[in-house]
Amino acid sequence: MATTTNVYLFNGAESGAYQLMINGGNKVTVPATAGDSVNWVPGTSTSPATLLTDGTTAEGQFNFNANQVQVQHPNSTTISSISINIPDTPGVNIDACQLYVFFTNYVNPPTWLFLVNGFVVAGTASA
Amino acid sequence: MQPATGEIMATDDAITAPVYLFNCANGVPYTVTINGGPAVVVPATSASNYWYPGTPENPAYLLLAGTTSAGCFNFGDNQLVIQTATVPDMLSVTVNVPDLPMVQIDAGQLYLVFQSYTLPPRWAFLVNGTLVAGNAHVVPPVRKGSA
Repeated sequence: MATTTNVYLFNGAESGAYQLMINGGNKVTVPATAGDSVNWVPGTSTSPATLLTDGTTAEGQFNFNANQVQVQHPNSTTISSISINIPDTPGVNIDACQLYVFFTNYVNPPTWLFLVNGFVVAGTASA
Repeated sequence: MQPATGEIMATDDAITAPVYLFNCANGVPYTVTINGGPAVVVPATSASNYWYPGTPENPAYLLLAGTTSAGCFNFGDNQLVIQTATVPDMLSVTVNVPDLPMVQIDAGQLYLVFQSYTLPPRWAFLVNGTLVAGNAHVVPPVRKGSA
């Protein structure tokens, strides 16, 4: 039986949802921030994604180590492929994870940060 | 108008945009001083609130025109001093905000994420929801005993 933990997906964009496909799974929509009305707190998906911590992997879930993720830019048809490497942390009780995706433009792959228990454990280069 | 404790006020002639400060750490707030201004407490994320990042009730400001004041972000380099509640270390971060003369700036967002509370945090600065500066490159932790 699989054991999972939640991965909360965040979008800091001003407008436009991005869509995420995790390891070949279905598209997940992550809405933009609602701006001034919520102090620009980032948007998040209706349901969190999951990280498999024990058991058999399935499409649409994050795993430890390499994950292939496709991201569709808000307000664009551009799809970027990014590889998110989540380090295994034996002995650590994982309460939850956070994935922040930030776009610089319509062309380049987004910058991202992956957090475990509120600590960043993986991320990409600067803007 | 007198600012509340820790609240940053721009000068009277200044034109500013709000900068929302975010804390992605779990249960650990941090204080930040921006360019020598007053310390601002940025609350932590809360697991009971879907892990949304914490943010102060009042935003900081980015100076777009007029006279700068301590506590405001400016275009170019900004010196931030950060302290968390868990360790006494004062952590310094330079946040370089590029000038965007052709852009109407509605708001900025500054995300701070910690890899450890003794190392300067990673950060991402967004203007109108678009990333314009940051140092999000993260070297994964090396497990003890690995080659």
